Amino acid sequence: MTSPPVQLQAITPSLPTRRDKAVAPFRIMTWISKTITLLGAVLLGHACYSAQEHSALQSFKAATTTLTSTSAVASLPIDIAIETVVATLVILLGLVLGTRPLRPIQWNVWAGKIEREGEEGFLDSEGEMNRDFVGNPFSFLETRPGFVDIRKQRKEFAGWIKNSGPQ
Amino acid sequence: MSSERELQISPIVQEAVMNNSKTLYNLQSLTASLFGVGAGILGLESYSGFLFYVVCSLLTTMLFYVLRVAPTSLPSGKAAFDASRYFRSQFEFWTGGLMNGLAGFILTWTLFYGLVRA
Amino acid sequence: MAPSLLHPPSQLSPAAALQLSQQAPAVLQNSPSTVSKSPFSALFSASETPELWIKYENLLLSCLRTGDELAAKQCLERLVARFGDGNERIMAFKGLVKEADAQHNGELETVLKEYEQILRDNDTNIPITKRRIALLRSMGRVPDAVSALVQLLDFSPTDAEAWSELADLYLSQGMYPQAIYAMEEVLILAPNAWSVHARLGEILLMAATAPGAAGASYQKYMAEALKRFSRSIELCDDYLRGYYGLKLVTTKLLKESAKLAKQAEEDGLVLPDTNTIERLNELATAKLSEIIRHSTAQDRGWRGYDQGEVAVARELLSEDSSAASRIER
Repeated sequence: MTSPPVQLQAITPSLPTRRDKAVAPFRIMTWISKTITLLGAVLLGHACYSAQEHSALQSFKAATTTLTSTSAVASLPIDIAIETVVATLVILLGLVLGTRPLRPIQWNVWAGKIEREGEEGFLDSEGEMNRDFVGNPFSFLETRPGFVDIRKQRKEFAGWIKNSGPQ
Repeated sequence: MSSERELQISPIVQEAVMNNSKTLYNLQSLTASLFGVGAGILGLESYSGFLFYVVCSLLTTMLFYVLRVAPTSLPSGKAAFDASRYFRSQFEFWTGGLMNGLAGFILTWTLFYGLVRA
Repeated sequence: MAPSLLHPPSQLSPAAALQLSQQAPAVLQNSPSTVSKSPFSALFSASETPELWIKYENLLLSCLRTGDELAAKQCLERLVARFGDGNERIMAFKGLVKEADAQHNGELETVLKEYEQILRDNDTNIPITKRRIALLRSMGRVPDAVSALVQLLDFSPTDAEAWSELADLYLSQGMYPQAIYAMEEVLILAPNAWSVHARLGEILLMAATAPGAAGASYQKYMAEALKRFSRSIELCDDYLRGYYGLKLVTTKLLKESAKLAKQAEEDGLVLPDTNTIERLNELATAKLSEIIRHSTAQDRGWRGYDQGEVAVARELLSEDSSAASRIER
């Protein structure tokens, strides 16, 4: 059959998508992760700057007044130390939250995940379909793309359009 | 060999193993550099710096386990702190981070130590 | 959602194929038609990825299926421009387009002759060999297709796809032992393919229930089918198709257990005792009802099942329970 493409477009609405629902949590996860990491980075930058200023001040003091001992130069004020540690932990949290989802390594668990969840289980942290995900990697043994009978497929498709068609 | 037979009966998915260890490796090298920055700002020297690194990288693995492994691994009947759902070698999972990131840690540690105390 | 263009579209439903082919104008417009080979232009334009060409191939297949020849030809042109006329894969696609265009048998014969001409020049052209076999089968010349396929397998015995096609051809002719043999070859090449295990189980079940099978061979087929389905669920947790087959086989065996128990056990494959079969049956029932429950409720993490398959499984279970209640009464 040779139905013009224009007509095809007219009769099909876009099918309802179930991926939209699935994507949302992933998007939110990346967003959270990125925000946390950024926050931590700002904190760390501030801590770094404070520490640097502090040591510059200390060395200036040491140069002007010879009375102070050298040990005062090395010690960091406690607030800067705390800020540094907190910033490190916050970035760490952000980075861990931003890692890609893991995949089960036992064959049966992995295969079961493919069957049970379909492609939804294999979205990466951006919510995009993972590029190397192929579904059941052995499905080609049953569909056999090299031997595809295109005429039969066309006939079936024409029949489907005629009988049910997309409502 | 019984273990080989077991592998035949319940195989391991190589791509998944690679995907997981790459994820963990990336995280560990990234965080190791971050700890170097922290240690440099704090002005840690010699043993205390390395102690900081060991504690932090264990903390990373712990956090990774809690946030990424445990939510799916515990319901599937694995014991706590058992990452065998996603990683083949338990020892490697818990201690691999120490070696992976050491070079990056020392690099940023010395760099920031020098920057802050110039 | 729109199915990904990166996966081969042959198993998609008509609706999904239609959706794919409707993307054609957009894809054709947004993707580069040719990729320049000069390194200078690579500085300014996006680099070439294998995905682009996979996309074109799959779009070509979908468009051919939905009858959108214009877009299909455009895809083909771009593929030819990139890979040249001599590429074996491209030659097969060109043949495919001609097959789809052919209006009557005469034109198909011409295409077939072209294939044969190509094969005379170079008989190691596997994509074209496969196209020729598919065309022979499509024209109803199954014996020719079988012999050509056997020749191909002599030449490249590690082609799992071809073995699978051979099994399907034999199956369509009702030659069960041959189909089973070919399917076992596929399993040798892909021992962990859970779907192939289930498929072999289905073929064995068909062979067992075919009118010709009786007595010892029936029992052997059933025992082997049981084994295959069990392996498929061992390789894949919550595999609907595997549990469905297991349920069918065990129910059938339990019904006939009295008749079968006496039969000889000389063959290598022995049916497990009734107790084991009963437990397998219970397991399959429990698993199937769990899958149906979760899938119907659209629970998170259970949305991958085909709704048609779930419906069939539900039917099987309700049949089974009604039969059980009848016996109790």
